[in-house]
Amino acid sequence: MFVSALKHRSRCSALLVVPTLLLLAGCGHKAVVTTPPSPTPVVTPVFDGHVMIYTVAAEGQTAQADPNGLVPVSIIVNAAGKDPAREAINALITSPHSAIPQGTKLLDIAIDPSTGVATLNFSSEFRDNFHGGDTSEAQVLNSVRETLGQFQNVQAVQFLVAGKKIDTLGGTEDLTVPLPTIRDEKEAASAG
Amino acid sequence: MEYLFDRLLQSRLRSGLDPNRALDGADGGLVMILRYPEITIKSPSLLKFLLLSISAAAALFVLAQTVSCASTTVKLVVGGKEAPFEVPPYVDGGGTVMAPVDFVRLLGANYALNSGGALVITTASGRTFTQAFVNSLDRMMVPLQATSLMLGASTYWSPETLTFTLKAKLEMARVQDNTLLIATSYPVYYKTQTLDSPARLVVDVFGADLDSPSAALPANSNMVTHIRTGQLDPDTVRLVLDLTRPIHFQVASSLQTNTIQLALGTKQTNTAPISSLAVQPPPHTTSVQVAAAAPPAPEGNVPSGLVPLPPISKAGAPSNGSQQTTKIINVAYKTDTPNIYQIVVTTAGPTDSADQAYHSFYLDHPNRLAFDVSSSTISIADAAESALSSIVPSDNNPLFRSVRWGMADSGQIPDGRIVVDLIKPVVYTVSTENLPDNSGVQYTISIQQSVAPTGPSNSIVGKVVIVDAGHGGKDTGAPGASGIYEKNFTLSIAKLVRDALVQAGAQPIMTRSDDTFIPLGDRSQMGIDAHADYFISIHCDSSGSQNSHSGDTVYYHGNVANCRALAHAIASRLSQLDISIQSDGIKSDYVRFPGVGFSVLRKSPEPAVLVECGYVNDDGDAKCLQDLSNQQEIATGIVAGLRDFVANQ
Repeated sequence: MFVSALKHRSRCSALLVVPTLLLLAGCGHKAVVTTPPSPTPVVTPVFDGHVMIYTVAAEGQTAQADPNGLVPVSIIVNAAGKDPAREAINALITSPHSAIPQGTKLLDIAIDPSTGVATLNFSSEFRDNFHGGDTSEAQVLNSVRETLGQFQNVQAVQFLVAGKKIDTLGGTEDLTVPLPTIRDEKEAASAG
Repeated sequence: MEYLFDRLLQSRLRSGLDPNRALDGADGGLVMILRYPEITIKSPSLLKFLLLSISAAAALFVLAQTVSCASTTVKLVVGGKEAPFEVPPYVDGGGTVMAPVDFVRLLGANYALNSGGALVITTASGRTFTQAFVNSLDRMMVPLQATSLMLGASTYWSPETLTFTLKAKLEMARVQDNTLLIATSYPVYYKTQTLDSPARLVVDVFGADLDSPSAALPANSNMVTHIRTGQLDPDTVRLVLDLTRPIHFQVASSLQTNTIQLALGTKQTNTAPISSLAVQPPPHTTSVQVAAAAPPAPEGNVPSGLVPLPPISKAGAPSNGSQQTTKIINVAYKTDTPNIYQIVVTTAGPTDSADQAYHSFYLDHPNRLAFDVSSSTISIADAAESALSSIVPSDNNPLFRSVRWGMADSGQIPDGRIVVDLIKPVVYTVSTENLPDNSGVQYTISIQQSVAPTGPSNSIVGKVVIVDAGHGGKDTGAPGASGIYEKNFTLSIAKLVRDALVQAGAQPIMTRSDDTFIPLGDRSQMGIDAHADYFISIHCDSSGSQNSHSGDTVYYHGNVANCRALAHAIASRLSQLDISIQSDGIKSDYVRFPGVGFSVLRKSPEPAVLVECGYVNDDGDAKCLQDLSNQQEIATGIVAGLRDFVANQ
C-alpha cells in the first residue's frame, strides 16, 4: 500500500517535469510571457537580468501592498550569473526594505528538477535576528515564496538554517516541510 | 437507614465492640487515625461553614507562628502527589503560604474573576465564595490554608520539609435502598474490588482522610452486615462492606467524584443503571459490571491519588504450580457493533465464581483501563513464542491505542492484568460467560465513548475543544511593548478560555499549559488524537514596526465554510466587547499564507480557527492585553462565540 503510493507520486512528478523541459527547449530566443495569462504560463522567459523581489512596503506604498504589507519591486541583477533564483534571493536579502532578518546570508540554493523544490540554506542570522511577530513571520516567508514564485521551475521552498531544518521561524508556520511558492498572477499577466 | 460517621463510634461503643478494631488484617495493614470525633456530618451547612472559617483563621494564625522565612517556596501535595506549578507556592512576609489560585482545580473547584474584579471560587458542589488575592509574577495568589479549608480539605503542614498536604474528608458512608453512598468533601479517585471467603466489597478512596474514627457499624441491609472504615495508608481510606453473600455491584458515579455510588444487587440480577453516567449493557450481556471513566479534568490538574500501575513483568510468567490454576489463554480484539470496541479475554481453569474473579479499574496519567483476573497467570501460546504482549487495533479505533498484558504484582498473589491504553474517556461493561464443561471463562470488555457529559447536539456540553496557546518555550513569539512576550499573553488567555469552557460543561484540552515548546505538527495531532470537536488557537500579532497595526482578527482555514462560520461567530462576540482593542473581523488564513494557511489550522480537525487577540507592538493593544480583566473579557467572548456557533448548527 505504502510502496504503491510512492510509485504513484513519482509517476506524477515525472509527468510534471516533461512539459517543462519541452517548453524550455522550445524557446531558444528571447521570449516574454504573452497573453492570455493562465495559471500555467505557456512560455518561460529567458533570464535577462530583470527580476521581481517582494519587500516590505515603505511609507506611502501601503496602498499597493498585499495584505501582509509586501510590494513587488522590479530590479536588474547580474544576468551573467545565469542563476536567476540565487540572484533574486541575494537581491531580496540586501534590499533596504527586505523582510529577511538583518545580516542573513544565502549559503546555498539548490533546485531539485524532479520535484521543483528549492532548498534555501540561510545563515543563522535568519533565525537569530528574527524578532518575532506573526505578521513579520508571514512577511519573511512570503517574500521568499513569492520571489521564487516567478520562476516556473520552482514549485516549493524548503528553508534551512545553517544546513538544518528548523521547526518554525515565528511559531505559526511549520518549516520542517517545503512550502509552495506563490505565483503572482497579476505580475505574470502584466509582464507581457 | 442512614449511618453517619458521627454515630459510628457511639453505636460501636454501645455494641461493646472494640472501637480500635476497625478492620482485620485480611483487609491489609491499617493505620488508625482518630480525628474530629465531635464534628457532626448532619450539621447545617451554615454551621459547618462557620466552623471551617474559624478553623481557617486559627490555622492561619498557627501557620504565621511556624513560618517566618519570606520568599520560601513550598511544596503542595494533593492526592498523594506533588502538584506541578509554574509559579510555586511561597511563604509571604507575613508567614502566610500563598499559592496560585489554579490549585483549586485539584479539588474539583474552579475560579473566575467577576465583573467587579473579585475572585470568585466555585466549589465542586456549586457553592461559591469570594477569595482575596494578590498578584505575583502575573498569577493570582491566594492564601493556601484558608482557601483549602473553604473547599473542605484537611490540611497538614510540615515545617521541616516545607510541604503542605491536602486531603479530602470522607464525610459519610451509608447503604440506602441497596446503594452504597460515600461522600467526600471534594472529588477524589477511588477503586473497587471484591474479596471472597468471606464475601466483601472493598472501596479504596485515594487522597482522603477519615472525618471520624475508624469504625465498623451494622448496615441495615439484607446484603451488607457491616461497613468498616480505616486509614489504609496516610493517603488512602479503605471501606470494607461485609456481605451476607456474594453480590453483584455496579458503579454508578464517575471515577472522580465527591459522591461515590455503587448499586448493589444479588448475583443473577442486572441492576439498572441509576444515573446517566452508566451505559446500558450490550444486549448479549449476561452479567455486567459497569464503570464510567472520569471525565477529563483540566490537563495537568487531575487529582492524581491513584496508586501507580504496579510494574508489569513480561507475559507468560511461569506458574508456580500451587493454587494458581487460572490461566489467561487468549486476548483478542473485535468490533462487531459500530462504535463498540471489544476485548475478549479467555481464561482456562476453575470457574466457581467467575464474576468475582476479576476487577477492573481506571488509571490516569496516562489514561488506562486495567482488568485483573484474580490469581491468574498469563499463558498465551502465540505471545509466549513471539514475546508479543500487546495488540494494536488495526482499525482507526478512536478510543484506545493498544491493549497490553502482563503480571501485576499488587497483592500477595500476582494477577494477570490486561491494560487498555485509552485515548479519551470511555465507559465500559464487562460481561462474563462460562465456557462449555466449565473449562474456562470468557470475559468481554465492551468499550464505548463516554456518554457522561454529553448534552444536546446544539450545546457545547461534553464537546472536546482543543485550546492552543500559541508559541511557548524557545518560540517566544513577539516581544510586547512591556517586555512580556506573546507566548505569555497567549497562555494566560488560553487558560481563561479553558476555564470558561469548563464552566460551560465542555471538555477543553490544552496543547500546552506551561511555558513549553510544542511543535506545530504536534498541536494539530492532539486534536486528531482526541477526535476534537473544535480547535481554537490563541495568538497575539506583531508587525515589523511599532504602532503600525492594531486590532483583533479571527482567522479561519482556507475557504472551509464551517471554519468561516465559527470565526464569524467569535468575531461578532469580540466586536461587542467593551475593551479598547478594535475588532478587525475575520480573514482566511490564505490571506496570511497564500495557498497553505496556518500550520495548526491546516491539519486540525475542523472547524478550526486562530484568534489574533491584538497587536503586542501596538501601545494601546498591548496595554489592554496586559490587564487580566481584559484577557478575561476576550476569553469569555471567544467561548460565547463558540456557543453561538454550536447553537446555530
